[in-house]
Amino acid sequence: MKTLLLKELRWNWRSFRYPAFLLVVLFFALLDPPMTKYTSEIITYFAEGLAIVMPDPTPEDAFVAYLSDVSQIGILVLIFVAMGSVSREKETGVTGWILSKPVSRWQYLAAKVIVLYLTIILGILGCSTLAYLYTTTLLGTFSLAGAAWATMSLIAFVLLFGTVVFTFSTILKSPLQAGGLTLTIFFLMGILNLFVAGTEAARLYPSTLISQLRPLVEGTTALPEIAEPLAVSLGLCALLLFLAGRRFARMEL
Amino acid sequence: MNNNITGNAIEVRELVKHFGSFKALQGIDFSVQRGSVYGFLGPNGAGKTTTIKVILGLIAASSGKVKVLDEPVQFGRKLNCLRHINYLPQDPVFPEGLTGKEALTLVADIYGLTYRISRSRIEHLLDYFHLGDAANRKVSAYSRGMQQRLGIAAVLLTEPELLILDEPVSALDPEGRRKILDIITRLKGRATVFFSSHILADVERICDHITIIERGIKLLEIGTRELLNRYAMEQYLIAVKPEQRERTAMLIREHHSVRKVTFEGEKLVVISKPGEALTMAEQLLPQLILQGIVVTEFAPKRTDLEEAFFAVLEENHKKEQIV
Repeated sequence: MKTLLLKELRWNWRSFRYPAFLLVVLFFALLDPPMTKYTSEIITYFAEGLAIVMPDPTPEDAFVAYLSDVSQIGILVLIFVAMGSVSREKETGVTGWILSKPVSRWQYLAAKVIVLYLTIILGILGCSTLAYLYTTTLLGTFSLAGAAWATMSLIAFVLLFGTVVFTFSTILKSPLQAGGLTLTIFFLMGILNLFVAGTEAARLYPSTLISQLRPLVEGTTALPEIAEPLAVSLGLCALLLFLAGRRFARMEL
Repeated sequence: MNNNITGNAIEVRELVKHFGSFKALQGIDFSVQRGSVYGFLGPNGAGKTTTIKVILGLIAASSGKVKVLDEPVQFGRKLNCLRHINYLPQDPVFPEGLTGKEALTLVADIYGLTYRISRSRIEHLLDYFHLGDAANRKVSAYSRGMQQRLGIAAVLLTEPELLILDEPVSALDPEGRRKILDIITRLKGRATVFFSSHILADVERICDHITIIERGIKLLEIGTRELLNRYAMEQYLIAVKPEQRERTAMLIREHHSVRKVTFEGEKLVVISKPGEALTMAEQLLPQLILQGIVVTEFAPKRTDLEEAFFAVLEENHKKEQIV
């Protein structure tokens, strides 16, 4: 197992796949706090002669901007880099080559899932810590607990899409199919959220994790409020991994 | 390598594999004795790679039984015996982004070789296959021949009890081919080599036994020598005076045991009807002499595996046409 984990880490590092995702998250962690602070000054500078009244930026605004960017652009990049995690190796014959050796099918998949999850969890945790420290330095302090819960909420949502793309990559033949289908689901979920938000169904809908980011950061929503969408998202991850593993166990390579 | 060289390394019984309505394998049977070098032959699309993948548990059999190193193969379940098997695919593949040395290290780690053993074997194999200078280059930058040499090094690295090689020398230059064939020859009696190849001269040189399949059907399972003798016995080379060649050919064609007469250089090649080679040989020579033909040579023609292979395929096609 250790051998396969190291192989996965090495492959992802060399191919710059998961590092690309981490760089994007880091980019927003470093960009959003100063952007939030200086946006009004920049606009005033370019709109010389015009009186533009903007609310004073708050540290919560900066942190929420970072979280929102990761929940959109970050997920798009993740879909792009993870869509070939299994399907590409199936396509090239590497999967068959590895499984002709003393490696079980679940070990093969588990190594990939662990590296994907570690990249998402540790990457977002690290960058959120950086974003929090940078924001407090530039704009003043805000609730650490709120930032932590919101980060957890974001991680669960990103994990869900990481799992969706991984599942499609496992069961479908080509990376493009896996990526295309995940993107479709990502956009459909966003559209559906417009109808679900504010209804009872929102309590179980994964996108609620994202619509509750600001209230969590500002402390107007407590953790129990997102417990249900969090549980649904993590439950979906478990279910998808189970289905992917089951399908892969009977897949001809 | 395991010293247990009795019994069969591979047993395949009534193996059937369908891909939808396409019948890829239609009841294949064969046994590979431990310690032997076994050739698995057939034209493109015959079902060789499909058979190998079923043996390795990578694809499911529609029916039939497969045993490898005494362990029944069950699709989707990890075989314990895989620790003693190493497989070289037709087009060697390695995980992306690895250098040659890292690819070998990955294989050594998967098979649980100790650091000391793997390091010394990897260095030796890289040097032996002239890959030392390219050891730290990415495999994706290797030529096809280099990738094939690396693939063979990866197979030999773990000193497996059973080597399954799918077209192992197809991309190699003559020197590389000779090296690999020498290695396989040296493995005889110590490991089992299951070897598929299109280069029949190589198979003839190193294989003890062969199975020929075509369109998913086994045509023949036989010892290599026996096959060559069987087909050699049906052909004779006859040399006569140049001015008597045409007349001789005409006389030979009239004999009831003769199937075909062709010219090969200055000589005549006479092919008997199946099973009538000895009768033909016994009767033909005295008859020719009685007719005043000066026979300077009358000998069984040496047949190589390629000729025997095509003769087996031709017989099968004729049988199919009759059916």
